[in-house]
Amino acid sequence: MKDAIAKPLKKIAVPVISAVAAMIIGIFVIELTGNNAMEAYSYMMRGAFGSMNNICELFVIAVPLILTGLAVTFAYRSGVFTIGVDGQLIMGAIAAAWFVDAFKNMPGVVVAVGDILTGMLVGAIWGAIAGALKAYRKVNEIVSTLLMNYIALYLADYLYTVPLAAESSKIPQTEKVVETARLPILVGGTRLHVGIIIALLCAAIVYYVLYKTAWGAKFRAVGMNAVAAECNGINVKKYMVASMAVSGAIGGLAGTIELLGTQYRIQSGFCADYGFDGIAVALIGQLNPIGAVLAALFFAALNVGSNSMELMTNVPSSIADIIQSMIIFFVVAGSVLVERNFFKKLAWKKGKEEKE
Amino acid sequence: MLELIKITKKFGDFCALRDVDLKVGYGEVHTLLGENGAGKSTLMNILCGLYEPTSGEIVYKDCEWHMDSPQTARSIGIAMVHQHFMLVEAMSVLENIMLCALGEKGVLLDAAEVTKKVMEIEEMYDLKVDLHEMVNNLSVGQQQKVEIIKALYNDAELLILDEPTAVLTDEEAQGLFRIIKKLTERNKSVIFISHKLKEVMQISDKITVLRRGQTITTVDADAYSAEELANLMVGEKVVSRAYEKVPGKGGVIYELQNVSYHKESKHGGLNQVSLKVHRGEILGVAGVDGNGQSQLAEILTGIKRPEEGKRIYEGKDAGQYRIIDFIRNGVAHIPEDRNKMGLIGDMDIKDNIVLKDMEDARFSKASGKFLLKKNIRKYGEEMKEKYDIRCSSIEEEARNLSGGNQQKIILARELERHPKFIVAMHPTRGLDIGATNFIHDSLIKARDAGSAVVVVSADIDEVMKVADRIIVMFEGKIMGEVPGDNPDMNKISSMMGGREYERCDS
Repeated sequence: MKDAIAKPLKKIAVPVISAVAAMIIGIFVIELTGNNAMEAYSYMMRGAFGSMNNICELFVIAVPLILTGLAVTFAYRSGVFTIGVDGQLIMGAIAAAWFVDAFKNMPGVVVAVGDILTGMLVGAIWGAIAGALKAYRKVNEIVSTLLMNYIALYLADYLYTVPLAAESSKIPQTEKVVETARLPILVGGTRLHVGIIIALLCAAIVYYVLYKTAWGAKFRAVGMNAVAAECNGINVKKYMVASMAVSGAIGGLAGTIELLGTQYRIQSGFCADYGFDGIAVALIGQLNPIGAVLAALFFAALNVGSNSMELMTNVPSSIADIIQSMIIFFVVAGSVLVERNFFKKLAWKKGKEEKE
Repeated sequence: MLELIKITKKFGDFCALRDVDLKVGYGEVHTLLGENGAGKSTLMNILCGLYEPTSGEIVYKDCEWHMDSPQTARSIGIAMVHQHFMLVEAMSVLENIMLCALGEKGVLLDAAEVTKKVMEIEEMYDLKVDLHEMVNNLSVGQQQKVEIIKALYNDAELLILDEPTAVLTDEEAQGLFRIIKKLTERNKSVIFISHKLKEVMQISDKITVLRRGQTITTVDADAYSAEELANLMVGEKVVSRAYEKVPGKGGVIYELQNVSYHKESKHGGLNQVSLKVHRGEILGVAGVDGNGQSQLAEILTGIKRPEEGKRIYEGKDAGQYRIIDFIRNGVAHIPEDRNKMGLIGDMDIKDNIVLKDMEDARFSKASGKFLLKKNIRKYGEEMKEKYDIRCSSIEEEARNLSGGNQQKIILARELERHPKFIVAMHPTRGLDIGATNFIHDSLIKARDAGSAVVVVSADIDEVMKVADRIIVMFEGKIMGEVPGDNPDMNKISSMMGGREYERCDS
């Protein structure tokens, strides 16, 4: 019973303490730039939570972060260390952009739903390629996903510059998504769209699959000890490919939602490193789907808040990036300290003692 | 020469050693005798600087030492030859020796100089090893010699040999004893760790018996008989539990016909192996570790596929069966490495128990779409009782348990599926007597219920205790077979050493 309380508490403690520690160090960094830290932080708070509009904007920013965080969480839980969510996101988005343009005369709901499915499918295929390379050809997934990110990025560049380019436009970009197919706005006068609900739903589904189904238990078994999983009759290779496909589908979903709900067209800078932020979100969320949601909201708050801080004070918004980086650093270091199994691997001497 | 005074070592609440005393004289072979878990390895790890004692003193050559690292121990002449050799396989013998010498003299090391010193050592102690041979081409016995040369190269005066004969054939072991004699002739001392009574009697001058982390006594080797030592070691009268030996009834369930796998590899393959296993019998596979037993177990359970030959299970050709096919057809596996192959260490106990049955209607709805955690928990509690798994909670991660309790988790998972065929490899390696007996009882019970069981073990006593029939493996081949009832010990040991006998079976 003690465990039931102590365990989750331990999990939450690391990211919370890390965030607080990073914010405190942030005070010194801001003071070093010759500004008043308290003033800066208060503008940051007001920027993130000050008005209904700001809060809605925070959620808009959080949507792709939640989804990419979930994509990374799922893959990491299955023992696949992907950094390919960026590529899956852009591939999903560009496929969605094609679909929405090709079927723009159909009823809006049909187009939107078909579009989301298309984006997920293409993302899944893009992810599964790296998964299959790892499972059947032992290609390191970090290398393959990294390189596939470049392929995706430049392929997308070509696609929105030539075949999918909007006719009337002078800069390379796709046609704007028809209004009927856009995701409905939830709060009038803001950008907040249904995507947030889809993202939260997605988190719930990932949680359910990972922790409530035999399928999820097997994914986690493969992630924790592939040899034992294999010996116990789990087809490890199949699960590796599947985990990358699921991760890719969520990545593709992130791209599609971003297209249909927020940006409406693809142009240079569409992706904005959401995939890499997803890694940070997943790690800070302790590779837990619910943790990923919380971490994504926190990142979004920092992001929105720092923009308003920059407007109102002389503190550059890159301070927020520094704080973010420090949190990641602390969380990873802190997890190593708290999680005994990680710790054991690191401190071999202690590990050996405990085995005796 | 060496005196350990009141050494105590605690790991958390667990007291691994309590007030242990040990005195080793010059030119003495001093044996540490004790069961698995008696604290022998812990004590030696303290002596060579891997662990720090919680309290106690180490006096070596009349000085008190604080062993804070293996380097300290090495620099004053204490060297340990571990059970698992610390050699770089892809390097030559000479390079391996130079590696351990590098630490002292920096990067400028003269190969010729090293060679000269090593040759002197080889000459002096009759340790003949080809310096330019790659380590992975050497036999286990030769690798052990390299370890000893390494220690002597660094001017070791006190050698600790941790179960050195566990991996050797009898003949190689005798060779090792000759080397030990030469060492003691030159006033070097040896601490010898073993639980093989016969060789302990042969080689030791003094014997210190450890039991549950405490020194029981130190005796002169020639004053005690083997039985008396065994009693000191176990602490109670040893009753060799005898099981009734039965002939298999109900026909052949599993047959291998001329199965080969990586035939050219003597210590990692199978060469034309044929065997039959009957329902309701235990087939014991004896042999020195690393003569193809792992591969045999992996072929039988489907982890590997035979490269040549036939695999017939329940009368059907099972040549292309995958692991899952064997599991579905009632094959259970108690693997050789429970942490690596048996358990998901980071998963909790109950999930490990139901790992193979998560799609079962007892544990989930719609074959795995929704896990019934309550049922799994309840079942886990039942198994905890039935298999006597000692843990604070079944929600605890499997890795936190002791080896015996980990093995019981695997046993619960495998045996509760009522398997028709069980492969158990080293099922009691590293376990105490209580857990060992429990596991043997369980296997016998499964046999009596009609399962066919294959027990692979490097511990000949274990094989003799449980097996109804015994085969012996050597360099990937089956050398012959003896009955489990009153087996001919001489025949078994000569087969373990590589002599082949005509097989009457099949």
